[in-house]
Amino acid sequence: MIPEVSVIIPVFNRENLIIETLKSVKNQIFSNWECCIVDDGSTDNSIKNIQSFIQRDERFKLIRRSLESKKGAASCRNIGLQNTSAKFIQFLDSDDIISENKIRNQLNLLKESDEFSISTCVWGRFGKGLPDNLFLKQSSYSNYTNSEDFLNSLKGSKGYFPPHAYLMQRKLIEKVGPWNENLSLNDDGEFMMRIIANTTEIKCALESIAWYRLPEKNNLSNYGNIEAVNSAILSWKLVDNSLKIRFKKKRIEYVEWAKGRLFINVKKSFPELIEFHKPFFTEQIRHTRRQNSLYSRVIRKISQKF
Amino acid sequence: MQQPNVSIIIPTYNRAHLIRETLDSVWGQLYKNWECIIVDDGSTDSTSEIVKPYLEDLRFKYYERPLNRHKGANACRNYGIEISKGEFLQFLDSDDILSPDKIKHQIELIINNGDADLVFCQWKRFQNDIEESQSIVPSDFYTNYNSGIDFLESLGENNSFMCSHSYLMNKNILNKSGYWNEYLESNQDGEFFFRVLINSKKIIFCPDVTVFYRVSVINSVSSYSSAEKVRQVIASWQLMENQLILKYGDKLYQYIENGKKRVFIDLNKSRYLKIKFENRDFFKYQLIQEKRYLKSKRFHRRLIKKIYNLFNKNDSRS
Repeated sequence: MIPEVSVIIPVFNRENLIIETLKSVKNQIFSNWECCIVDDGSTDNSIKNIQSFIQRDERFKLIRRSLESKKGAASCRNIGLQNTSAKFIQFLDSDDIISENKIRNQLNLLKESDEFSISTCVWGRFGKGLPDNLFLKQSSYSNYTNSEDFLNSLKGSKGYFPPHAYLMQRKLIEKVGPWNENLSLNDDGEFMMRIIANTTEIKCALESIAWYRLPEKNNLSNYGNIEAVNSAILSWKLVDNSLKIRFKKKRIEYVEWAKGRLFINVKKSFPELIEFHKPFFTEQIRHTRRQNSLYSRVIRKISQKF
Repeated sequence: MQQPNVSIIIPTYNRAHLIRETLDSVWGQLYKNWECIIVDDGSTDSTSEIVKPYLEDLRFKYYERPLNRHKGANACRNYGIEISKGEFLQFLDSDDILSPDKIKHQIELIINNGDADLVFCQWKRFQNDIEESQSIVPSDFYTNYNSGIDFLESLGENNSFMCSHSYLMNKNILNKSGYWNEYLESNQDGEFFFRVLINSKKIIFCPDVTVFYRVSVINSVSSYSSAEKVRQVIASWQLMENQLILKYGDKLYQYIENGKKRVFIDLNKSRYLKIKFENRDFFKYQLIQEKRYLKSKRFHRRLIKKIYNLFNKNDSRS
């Protein structure tokens, strides 16, 4: 039987976590899938553990990134796309988990709408020894026929959906192009924004869950490398450019909002990059300046009183 | 010799008066294994009647853009790609012309260079008669390239641009570049082939064949009919520039600067010239140049005034 859904999992040194992820794929109620695991050159026991888990289940296959391909999760996902053939695509990271009804419910939603529609689902964070944190009521948990409304709803809903909360058609990915292998941060955000810009309809599966595992180290450690941070800024420039083309607007509300969060992270890690990309952060710089002046005025007044 | 299938994709909108010449140039190709997919963007003229006789040759296929697709040439091209069966793609506009040996020679070159991503040939522009066509690209440019970025830099140095029907491309590149951007309304081919090029490794020049690009006598629809359109064009050049910066580092790319310059000049002619100040950073070099030019103009004016005054004083004294 030709598989209907391709699950694509890039993996790099996740010997302890990958099995839980693979189990959540194996436990799917909808069973006609293929799962392509792409190894990014793991040096721990990941490969051994994966191999022993997937033997006897031919729906899984493990391939290794060839040396000519660029290193990184984005490159591995693209290899996964080239080595699978199903009509629907589920991206999954090697430490994340999807509920067992996720693929079935989303597939049902997408089958009744047009070929460029995508589906979202409920999501939450777990791990780090913290209690599971399911985001239950989000304004983004709704159906949209207008991408711009969807983006604006994200502002009040954590700002994004993790990539594995989506199910989409291969046809849409072919149209927007593959993952950008030159980005080292926010490659998922940049890819998903191109998908969202080109989708016709967004349908939410309210009874399915995508679990996002909190990284062991603080998220800010991503911001430890100046080149990576610079590429995160460039990724948002690309998003801004694409969405401006898409919506023919002078200013993209969602991007300006997201830049606010980026600005804070960049300022904490490599403030010199703010100076370098000054025109891009115009609005954010102006905002902090305004805040600072108000703050300093209040402080001055208080100190005068005492 | 192998005869791979070539898909020729033609979007059209109200070109009943011109499309015949284009279809004849397809029909007359010396290479025979092609399919020609014509996608109509909702023509209200007699296009369908003009196309009809060609459909007797089953290699011609005529479709209407499906209703659920965005309007425009790019959505038509994308629909054409989706239904195409060829290993190679030839994009063609419904008023342009290919020389009869175009596809034949390009396919031969691709077969002899198994890993070529893209073949191109020289192009000439014409108004009514291709006998009176002219080339505006310096001949130095027409050579082989080992990467898309070399191709673009060379285009930049020669201050030139290519037209989309000069290429014949391997369909596989689309897996890296993506399809045409359906929301972009001008510089569509520039933006699409930019992505194709930066994902191509081997680009081969095919001598001896020519494609013809029709320029209308009356300047056709200006790309700057609204402020939104201007901003969209600027965003498309920014997108290209940022992709280059991400891939090849932060430096000046002559190809992009030339593009900016063309937008800048058009912008100055339009009603929306204020938009250039919204994009001060993007038009940095163009604004510096303009300032320098205005300064020297002012200087000249003052100089002329002084000389004039000098003579006038002398006159009044005498």
